[in-house]
Amino acid sequence: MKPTAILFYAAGCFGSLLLWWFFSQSTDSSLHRFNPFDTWSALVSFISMPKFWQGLAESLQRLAVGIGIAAAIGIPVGIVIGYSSIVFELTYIPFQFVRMISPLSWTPVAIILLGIGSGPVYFLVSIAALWPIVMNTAAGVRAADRQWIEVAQCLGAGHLQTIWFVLIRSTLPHILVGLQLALGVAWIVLVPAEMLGVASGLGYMILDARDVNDYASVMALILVIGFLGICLDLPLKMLLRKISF
Amino acid sequence: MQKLSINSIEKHFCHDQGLMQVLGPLNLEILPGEFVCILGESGCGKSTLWRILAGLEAPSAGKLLLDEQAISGTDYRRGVVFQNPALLPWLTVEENVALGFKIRGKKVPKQAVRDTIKLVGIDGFENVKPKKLSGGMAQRAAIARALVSNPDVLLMDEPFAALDAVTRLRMQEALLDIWQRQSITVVFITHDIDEAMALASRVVIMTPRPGRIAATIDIPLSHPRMRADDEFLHLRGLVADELVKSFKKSPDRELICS
Repeated sequence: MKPTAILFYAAGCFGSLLLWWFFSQSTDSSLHRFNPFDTWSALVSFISMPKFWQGLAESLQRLAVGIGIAAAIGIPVGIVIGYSSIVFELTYIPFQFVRMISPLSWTPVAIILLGIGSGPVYFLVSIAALWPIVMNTAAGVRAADRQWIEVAQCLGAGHLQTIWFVLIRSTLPHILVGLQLALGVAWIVLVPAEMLGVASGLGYMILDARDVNDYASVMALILVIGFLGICLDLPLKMLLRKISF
Repeated sequence: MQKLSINSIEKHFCHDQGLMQVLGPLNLEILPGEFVCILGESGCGKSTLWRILAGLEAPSAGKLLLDEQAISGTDYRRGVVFQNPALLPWLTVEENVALGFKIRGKKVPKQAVRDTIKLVGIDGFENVKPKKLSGGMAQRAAIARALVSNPDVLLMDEPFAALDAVTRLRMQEALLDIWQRQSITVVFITHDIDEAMALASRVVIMTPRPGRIAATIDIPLSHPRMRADDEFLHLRGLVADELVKSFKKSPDRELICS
């Protein structure tokens, strides 16, 4: 990275903080409650708070399970859709339809089917993460070089061998992009999902802090959520660079 | 080794104005050990013929026979080399050459793979990824990938057309060397008279639209061929004349129904 680039990145962060501080100085007292200094002390107090770390771990675990379920379903489904134009045509309209529904609209359905607890959260996170994985995997299979497939066929490959030896590997970069996008939406959906019917996790902690008028903690948790989002994205980005060809 | 017979093969394609016949009816026998060059202008259907021979496309009519047995679909015993090397970019040269064994669930014969890589002249590059290879070297790897399974026939679709002129000459020499040492059968598609003259034991000239055989000329010259010899020049002249004549024979786009 160029030194000037680092400078500008840093200036961007600093500018945002400054803007935040500026608005919190408003005469409106409700805005003042979200000021950066109180937020910072709340953030520091989190470090020694086991409840915070437990909530964080719960949230990450729900995210991992939700994305795991989405990947376990989405990658095979995406491969089949990309490989067979009949399956593509059969599923196209229903999938486009369901994809456009906000994952949180499934909340009542999820609670009726899975009860109260982590179940509905897993469901909401996986349904949010599913579509980017399916769509990107299918697009990746369709984008595979036809000649690679023909080479495999000429070497004696049937459908299964073609998928296994050519398509899965050639689609891997697309699958990773799908996972990256899935992680983004899953992380976004996780927080509101945790505001419904569970008693742990970052989303719950925000509501909990609000209930006791602890606005500094609300802001601190929002910062933690944003920061973790960046941290989760980074390793996938690096992995993607490594496996591209 | 076996005889490959092309028996009244035809190919039609759907077209805006109806069904267009692009190929045939076409008959040809390829004998064991032959080096047959199929020569014709671009778009004469020679690549379609190649795809049918490879089993990548089914003929609309007619049959392919290998040693009097009808065959269909792809088969590793018909080795193919495309115009592009089409190596899998995430595998090394050695893994690309060994791919067929893996696909067929066989144990990779390491020594045979290494020997074939050496035969095509890219030993030392076993662990290199295709991106690092020049066009000629990548095509050598593609030839090794086809040869390593000991195919009955090697089917090549303008394999050197994308290479520069000097590399092309080198590749022709390398291929001849392999053909003589391994005594394999080769069907080689080209639009280049000089390439056909350098390689073929028999040149088959195709007319365009629909692709049919215009003439077959034996080239009974041994290798290395002297390109300035009278006999060579005489045969080259015959091939060129037949190619020109083939243009006149060909009717324009032939619609067989509308």
